[in-house]
Amino acid sequence: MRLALCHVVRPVVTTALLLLGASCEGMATLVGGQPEPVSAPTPSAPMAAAPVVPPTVLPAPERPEVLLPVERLQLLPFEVRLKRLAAAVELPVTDAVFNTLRSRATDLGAHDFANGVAPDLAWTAGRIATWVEGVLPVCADARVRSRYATWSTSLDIFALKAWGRAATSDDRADVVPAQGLTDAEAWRATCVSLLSSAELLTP
Amino acid sequence: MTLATPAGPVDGAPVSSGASHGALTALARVGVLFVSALLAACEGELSGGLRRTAPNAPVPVDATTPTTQQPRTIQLPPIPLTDARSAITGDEAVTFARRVAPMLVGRVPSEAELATLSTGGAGLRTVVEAWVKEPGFAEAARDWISVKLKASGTAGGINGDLPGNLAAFLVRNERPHAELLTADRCYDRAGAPTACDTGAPFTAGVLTTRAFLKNTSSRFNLKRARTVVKTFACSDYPMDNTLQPPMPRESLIPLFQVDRATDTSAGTFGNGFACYTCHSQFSAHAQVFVKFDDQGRYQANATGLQDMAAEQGRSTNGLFTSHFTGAAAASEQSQIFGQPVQNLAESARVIASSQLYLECSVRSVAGYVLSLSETEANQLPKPVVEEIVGEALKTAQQPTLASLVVEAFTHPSMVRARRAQVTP
Repeated sequence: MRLALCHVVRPVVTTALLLLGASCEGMATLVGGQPEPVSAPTPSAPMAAAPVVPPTVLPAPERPEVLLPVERLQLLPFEVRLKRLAAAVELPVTDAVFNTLRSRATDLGAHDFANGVAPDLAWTAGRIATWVEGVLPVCADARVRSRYATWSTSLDIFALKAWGRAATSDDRADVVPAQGLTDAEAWRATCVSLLSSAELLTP
Repeated sequence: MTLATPAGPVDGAPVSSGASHGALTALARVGVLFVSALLAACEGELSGGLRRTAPNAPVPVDATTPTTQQPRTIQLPPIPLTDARSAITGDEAVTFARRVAPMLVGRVPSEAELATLSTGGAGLRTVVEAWVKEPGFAEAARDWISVKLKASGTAGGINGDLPGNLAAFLVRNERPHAELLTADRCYDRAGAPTACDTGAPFTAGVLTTRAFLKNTSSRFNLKRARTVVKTFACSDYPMDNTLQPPMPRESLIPLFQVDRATDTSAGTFGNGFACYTCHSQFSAHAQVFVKFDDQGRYQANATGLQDMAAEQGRSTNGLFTSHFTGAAAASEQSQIFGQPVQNLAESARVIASSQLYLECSVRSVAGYVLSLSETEANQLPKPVVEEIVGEALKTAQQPTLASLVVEAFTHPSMVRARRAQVTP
């Protein structure tokens, strides 16, 4: 069966190569899958076969698109959140200033499967409150205070370390001190806000 | 006799173009494809680089009448991956890297990395290749496996960290990813070797840890079997019979021989399939766990026989009932994916050496990094996942997790993945 077919096809291949050569001039004008008419064979190109309709060339297919589900507000794993926090304030993740947060790890969504605790990465009101409690000692730390003495001038550095990008005008507008607060209160309020920002704690 | 024209992507065509398709490139591709189609038909190789025309595909060419005036359609092959990677823009690379960096390495890109990323696809690859060498990536691997296997912490003398420790060790030491299921020892958190804790005379990476075995203990060892195929092969029961041939009906205990009646969709189990359809496959995969009790300990004298005083599926001494009758009930010999195995260790080797395992690992780690559910991760386009694995296999017969991650997180389709929008 296959042999029989090949006897038929081999001559066809030869013919096809001839036809292909004849149609090259027209084919060469194909760019981006836009076929153009092929010029008719010239008298100098001997073509015994019947007129040929050139193949339509479809453009190169795109690779399949990856469509992800709707973005959900989901926290990073607890250890990753802690690392990002530490990087943002330029302290080692093992520093004692993070002990309050560590002591509340499972409340903050860390897993301990052996003791029946699965990861919970929902950013709930209770978890926000617990996080803020844990961040207060960080914002009270003299090293952090000296590193970011004034938010308006140090926001660029903070944004790069915490968020991996340059600060924007919107960011700067957000750190304008609230009225009625002392400088120290305003600094701490901004510090807590920045270290609890969704951009720091979510992917 | 009809010769199909290529209706889909054609791999392996010798294309040397850059990202922009010049006229000469188009000509070269058309010429190669046109001739290839005819030659392939002669050699009977249509199933290789070319594909048979689908019912709604372009009009086919009749091979016996080459001078036909019927229109023909030729599909250009996809842009080479290297070119597609190069076409990734700086903005795309920066946005994607900022999204995945915290999950991959526990931090945001540095200022220097942002500068590299801004150069586009090549920069992205440089950065991701460096990331997978960082300790943070080993920690990501630890957490990924811990979450997948629901194993962390310590309780009741069982160290739930062993699976995660192994994953981190393999990454730190650039060991093949297959060793997650084939490693012959366990490791402590610092990476020092330690005995695995089941007492079995063999080891099978994370599968021979009590943390995994206790978490997944259930009647007939069903949960263990299902967790393995779902986690490491992204499959579920009933699976294609070509992947897992069903065990003979007569080899199973009577409960699992029952099947749907031929004249009705109603089975005795109530789901239309009764038991045999799934359990003819479950049986093979569950059998290798027959000597592991509900605490994950190995009991060499397990019988696999039903404890008549206990609920169905439970054997004596905290063990679980086999699907099989006779002497086969107590034996660890079984088969997986159609291959005979002596025990769980051999079963794990078969899984770890399969293409499915690598593809499933890509899906799984992508799901972890991009916060996808298991179902969502399994819906990532198969051609993309296959291409990622194919690229990793070009550099090593047994890829590391790092190489799979580099290929996955520099693949153009992944970099350009877009989120579905909320519909009002």
